[in-house]
Amino acid sequence: MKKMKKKLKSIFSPKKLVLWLSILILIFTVPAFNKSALSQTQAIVTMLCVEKEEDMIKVAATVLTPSQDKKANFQVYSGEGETLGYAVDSVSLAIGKEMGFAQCKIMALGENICSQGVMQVLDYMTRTKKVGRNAVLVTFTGDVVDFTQSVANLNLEKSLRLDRIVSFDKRYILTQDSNIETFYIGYYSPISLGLMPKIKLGTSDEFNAIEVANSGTSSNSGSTESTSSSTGGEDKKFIINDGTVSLFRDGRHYIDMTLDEVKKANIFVNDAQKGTIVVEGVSDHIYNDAKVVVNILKKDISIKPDFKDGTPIYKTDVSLTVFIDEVIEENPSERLLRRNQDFLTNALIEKIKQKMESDMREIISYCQNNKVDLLGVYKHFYALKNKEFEEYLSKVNEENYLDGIDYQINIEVKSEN
Amino acid sequence: MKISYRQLSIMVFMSFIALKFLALPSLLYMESKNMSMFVALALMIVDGLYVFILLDLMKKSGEKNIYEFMKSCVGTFFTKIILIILILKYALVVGNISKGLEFFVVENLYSEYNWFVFVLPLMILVGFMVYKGVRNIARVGEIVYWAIVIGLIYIALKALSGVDVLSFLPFFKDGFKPLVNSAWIHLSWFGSATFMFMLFGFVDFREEKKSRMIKYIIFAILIVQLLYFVFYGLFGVTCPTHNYCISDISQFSSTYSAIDELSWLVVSMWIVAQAIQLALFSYCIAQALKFLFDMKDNWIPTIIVMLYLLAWSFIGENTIRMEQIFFTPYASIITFVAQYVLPIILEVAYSIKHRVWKNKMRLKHEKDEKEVKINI
Repeated sequence: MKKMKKKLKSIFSPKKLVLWLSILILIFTVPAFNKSALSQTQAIVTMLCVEKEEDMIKVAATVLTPSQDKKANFQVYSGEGETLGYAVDSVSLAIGKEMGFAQCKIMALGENICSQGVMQVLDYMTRTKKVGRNAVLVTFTGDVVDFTQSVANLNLEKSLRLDRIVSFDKRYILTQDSNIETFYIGYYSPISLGLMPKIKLGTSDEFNAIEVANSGTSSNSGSTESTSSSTGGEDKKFIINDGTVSLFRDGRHYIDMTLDEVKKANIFVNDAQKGTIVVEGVSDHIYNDAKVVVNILKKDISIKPDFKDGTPIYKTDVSLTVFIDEVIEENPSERLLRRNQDFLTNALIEKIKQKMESDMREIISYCQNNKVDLLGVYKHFYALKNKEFEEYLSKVNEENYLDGIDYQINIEVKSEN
Repeated sequence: MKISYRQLSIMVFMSFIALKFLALPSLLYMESKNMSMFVALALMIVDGLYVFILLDLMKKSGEKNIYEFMKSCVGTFFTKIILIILILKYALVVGNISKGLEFFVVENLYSEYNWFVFVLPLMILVGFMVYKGVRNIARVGEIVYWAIVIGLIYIALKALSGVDVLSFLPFFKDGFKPLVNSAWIHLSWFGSATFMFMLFGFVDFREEKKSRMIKYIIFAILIVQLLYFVFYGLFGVTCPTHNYCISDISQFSSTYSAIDELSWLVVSMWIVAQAIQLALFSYCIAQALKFLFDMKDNWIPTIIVMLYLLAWSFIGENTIRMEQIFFTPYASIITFVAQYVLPIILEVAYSIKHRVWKNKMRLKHEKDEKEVKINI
């Protein structure tokens, strides 16, 4: 016993620290020698596209292969199966590697899968395949493999990344981040609403289209041969991001919103800070029947839900700091040339207010007609006037709760100066 | 060798934050929804108050260790029962930290590695720290303190802009019952100040400043509340699906920047804090075992603790669910007794004993005076 005690004491003596350190290093390094390189056993998926065609799930994945020459080397692989798991496994079987989704930054969902419900897909990918909740979500049109290939080529040819394009959209077009987390939050909220930008794959040069090569289902796009081979017209594809946003209810695709509709909605929510307002027929001492484009520099929105005699009042105070961007008129007044004056005249302010009021009316009737709560009316009443709102909901058909609300808007427009 | 009052304050700080940033916020949300912050706040305030009761007892014990102090207050038999309760509480904390770390490391950091690759060095590290005593643990805590504090604040502030304040409203919609229920179910995650029992006689009170301890406790509460505010504000209804609060907050962003990579460094610092806590509570088990079985040296309890730590690695999710251990009424009862009842019992026992001793002394004094008078 005493001998053992002495031995143990000596094991823990500070003099043996170097020995312990060496053992620790060995524990961590020796198993690594026995392992093959991670890139040999795992495919690093950076984007996954999912679509359903004739009862079969089709997937296409962009796989990043690390190379020593600093060039990004993307390859697109596709597979199909009765379920999403089978489809993903079929890709693994084909390439002899496990699909690793930890670096998957984009998930694109096809039109069919969106109309049938996307929650199963998202649940499987986040829970089982460990796709990060911050992966950007988009919907797409067109063939799943063509789309994936085109997005991979977009990155290689033009150095444009779809996830960055969508993140940029957030400031101007979308009302929120479009990622799995925000989609989940929207889905599990009482109104069960979600938004995803819609990226179209076209074959002809349209407005906002970016031309990319389309070089087959499985390609090494990092090499110059494949990226510069898009000379034939049939190989060309166009990625189109025209600002369309797909609206989801209960996890299913419900309706598409046009850029104009989303922009109008954006004015009345705090998330999107940028925007423009176009007013026409401005006439005063500076303007002569002018069309003025106003840029929103800063926006403060205060929402005060209230009840008066049992009627809910949704009061929105909007404070805009604006910058006069463009002035379009036939005979510009010489006053426009004077730098030291405020171009935000009372007539222009009045016009902006009128425009915003009409936009608000339009977006509210859009919400009422489509029964979608884009402005977060439910959330504000539920949080700030809970008792009265629950009473109100018990009296009306819950589907139509937006109809019985009195919407009021108070606008303040300030110049940047 | 004694530890300073500052080192004790830092250890209290660490124990207050140690178990709070993995699964706890998500588990709290399941019961108490958007009011979960208040549950954590209330329990941490109570924990803070008990730190001062324990400090008072520590000072009363003077140079005595916990065993000698309890023996003088409640006798040998009850002392041994109390020690068993404390061992159970410490064992719960060690198990909780160990499993929490395992799931976090395996699922978030190194999914390709076997947990044993981590647990073996961790076991040796903990064994070494336990064998060397509390002074080493306190010193390591002191060294990493600022790195941990700055890291946690950085993570919280980075994600603060995404917080939706409306998700906290309305307050107390379902009344206080779910909050009380939630507090009781998750009690075993709190009561971290119980480690102070094993430091009786090991703290140097010469540099004592009460305000210092208050500052550290308030600071710990504020940091926990700040991170919980960000966590609940960011994830709202999806909180129950976020089992790794600290990494989920740090990774919540769809925009990428080089500074994001720093988050993992910060998370790694927090893992160091967990390792220190693991060592501290393992040390507490070893000390309690030493007193319980009247062992003279550290090496047997150290080996027992190391084996206990290793045993947790064999208990996987397939064998037993964590909920069956940490969220049972038994776990709550153990924590309740160890943290909230024992200090009161000891205070009462000490004051009774002190009064009896005073009375005895007074009677003896009177008797002596009488005898002196008779002699005169």
